Amino acid sequence: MVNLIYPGDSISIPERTNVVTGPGIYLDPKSQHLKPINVGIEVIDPSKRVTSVYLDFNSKRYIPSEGDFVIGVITSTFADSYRVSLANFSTAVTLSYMAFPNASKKNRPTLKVGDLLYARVSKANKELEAEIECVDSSTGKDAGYGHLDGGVVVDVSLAFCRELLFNNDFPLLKLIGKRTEFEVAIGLNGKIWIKAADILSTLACYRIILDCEKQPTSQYSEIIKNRFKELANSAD
Amino acid sequence: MADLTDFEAKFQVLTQVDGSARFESFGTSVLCSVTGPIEPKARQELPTQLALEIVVRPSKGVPTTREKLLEDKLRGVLTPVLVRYLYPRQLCQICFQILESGENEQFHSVRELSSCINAAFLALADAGVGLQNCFASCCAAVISNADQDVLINPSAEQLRNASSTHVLAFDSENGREPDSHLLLLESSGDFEEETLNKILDAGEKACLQTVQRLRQALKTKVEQDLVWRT
Amino acid sequence: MSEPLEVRPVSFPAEILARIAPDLSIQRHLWLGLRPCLRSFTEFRDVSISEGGISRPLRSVTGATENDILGSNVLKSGSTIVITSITGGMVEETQPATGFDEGEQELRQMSLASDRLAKYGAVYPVVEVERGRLGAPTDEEMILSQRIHDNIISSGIIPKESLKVPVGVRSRNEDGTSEIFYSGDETGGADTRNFNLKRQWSFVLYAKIQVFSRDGPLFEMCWNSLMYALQRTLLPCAFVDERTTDLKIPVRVRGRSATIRETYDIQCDPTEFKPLKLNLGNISYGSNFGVIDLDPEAQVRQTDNEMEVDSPTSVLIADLQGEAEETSIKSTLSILTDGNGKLKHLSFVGGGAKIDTDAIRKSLSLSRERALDLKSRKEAT
Repeated sequence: MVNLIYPGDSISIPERTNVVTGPGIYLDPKSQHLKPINVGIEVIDPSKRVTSVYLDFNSKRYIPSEGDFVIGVITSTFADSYRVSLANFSTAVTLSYMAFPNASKKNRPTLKVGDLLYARVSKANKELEAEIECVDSSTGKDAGYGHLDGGVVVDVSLAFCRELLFNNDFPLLKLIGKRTEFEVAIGLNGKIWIKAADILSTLACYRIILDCEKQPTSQYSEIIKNRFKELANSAD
Repeated sequence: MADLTDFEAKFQVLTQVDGSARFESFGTSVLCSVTGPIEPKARQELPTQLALEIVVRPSKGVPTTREKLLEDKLRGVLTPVLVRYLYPRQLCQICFQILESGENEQFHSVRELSSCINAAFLALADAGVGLQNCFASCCAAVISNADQDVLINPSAEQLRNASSTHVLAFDSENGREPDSHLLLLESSGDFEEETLNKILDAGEKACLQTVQRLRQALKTKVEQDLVWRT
Repeated sequence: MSEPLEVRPVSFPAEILARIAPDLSIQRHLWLGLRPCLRSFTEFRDVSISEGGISRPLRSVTGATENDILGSNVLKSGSTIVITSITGGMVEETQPATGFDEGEQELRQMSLASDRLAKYGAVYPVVEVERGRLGAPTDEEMILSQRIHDNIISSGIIPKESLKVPVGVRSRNEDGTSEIFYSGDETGGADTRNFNLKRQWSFVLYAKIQVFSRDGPLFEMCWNSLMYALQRTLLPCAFVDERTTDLKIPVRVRGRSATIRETYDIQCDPTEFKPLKLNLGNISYGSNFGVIDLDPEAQVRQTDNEMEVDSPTSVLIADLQGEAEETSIKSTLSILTDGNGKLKHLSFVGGGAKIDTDAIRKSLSLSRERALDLKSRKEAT
């Protein structure tokens, strides 16, 4: 295993003025030292303009962070905003009516309580309630966010979601794609929405994702084959 | 002789919480679950930092004031090691279920307390809640008519004869060159300052050894967590 | 728009600063060499005690018998008042079902001997911190009560032997007056040896500890008050009537015969009391300490040319008082000691500043002195 770091260990960061810290690294307000606060793999990436330092580790509880793609459920509506739950028991986030494409005072979004939606975290500050948006705020145009109709949501660990979303070489979705057509939305809050042509295939996808979370990639084609076979048999 | 800091750890024993661990060591077994950071009830909320809710459930019967006292001691240990100011207005629930006590519950709670502290470290690390340092705990006993030797992690039988019992918890700032800090010392019985110094020395050593073992256990956990990378 | 913006530093009077920023207020005080309560770092508050004032045995001489308190103490420290009153109850000990089995008795003794703590009795304390409203006990009260209970047992203060009820016999003289004889009585007219009592009773002690105007940590104050009260506790003597000592009622139920022994009607003597025998060597007194890091930024500099003095980075504070000290000092030490080098209980919580060996040594020696002082007060009264 590469460099595994534990809370309180010392980390050596190359002498650079611009350091950006990510998850697992904490700037102690008193001593102004950077220290790791989680158990994870140390990643120091000096390739860009700034050096980014973070720990890679798996967890289940999502903490909103700006720019993340998330899947949420509307829990209540207010005069000018929705309250959206990103994880059970976590503090809900706000989705303003103005954070939709072509939004205006008169043109209100038509979502209801209980609707599932895909969005982007637009503001995240630990002291304040986080906000999400269903529009690309830099262009003001539709960017594929919004209501997710039908399908199922799979709850998986956060690191698995990151792997699926950011690693383009990750074989899982490609392998499923050989078997069936499907739509997918990956939320970094540990939720994957998937919808295939029919219910049986959707169910197969659901089970495959859950199984694959606990298995090495070499097993994936075997799992997918078995799961689809199982459902084909049960359909008879 | 068996190594008395030996233990068995299991992670993610519970599926519906954010982090959980089972810590088992010579007849004492504790299950710890961590949920958080989550939305607190209004009366629990602290404006600048993470609120803690600690619940201890005994191996048999309903919780009594004995468990309340254990909760208070655990709070004393866990509050300083959490990165509290990273999660303002949030709550972290930490529940302990004693599965096997491993001691006479009427008179002692040292084995339970030290196992709870170790289980909490594993479960908090599993949940990904920020920690200032790695920490570990051990208990100790001194038997009166023997040669005042310090027994680390004594058995129920040894506790029965002990003239004094102790629980210690230390954190270690840097795994490589230990710079440790006393988090908790709970002593009761009949002892002297000289014995206390011996206990602090032996306890610190045992705690740091336990920290190393807990880190080993966490290493296998991380490998298991990111299994799809292999 | 064009008005010049004036920024003035805001300054607060000391008492307002203490409320809005207790940690800053305490740091400012510490840099001046004293504490918010104006005591020096290792100065304790004075303690005044009055003992036994409300207990029945001590007042029975004067005929005041309106309560059933067996021992009491009032402890005042600063503005805090702790009132401890000890009451009791009686329970019958479990006895072997058939006769007196010597082997079984021996086994019981052996198992008792191997378990150090099983030899000692407990006091069941209920701590009430009065805050002007009623309700279920708070966590703090439950924790205090349990801590006191645990330490009474682990210190080994009350041997189970001394909780046994001395049972006497009341016999009626020919002239109609009654007299009570205790087994220890040399002058016993009636032959108490005839009275072969197979059953035993034990006292159970309860302590109600009331705290008024809480001002800082309470455990040590409650503990000290209980220690004083226990040393002034008198247990009543008890007796049974002679006619009930050997009473058998034969009964016949569906052809089978049996005898019912009348339950002894045990009564407490209103005037005879014996002091509770304690293991005096195991009595300890408590004191608490805190360790706090000095924050160099909070230092108030008198003059600019003052040199950087090599000052200590953390200080030891004795006998915490007030909300500011209780909330800002995260590293605390609580010590129960008998004053002669014997330690009974330690509770160190290192939540803030590092508790190093220096702090431990210093606090232990201070607590020893304090315990000796508190002990002498008991003897003085």
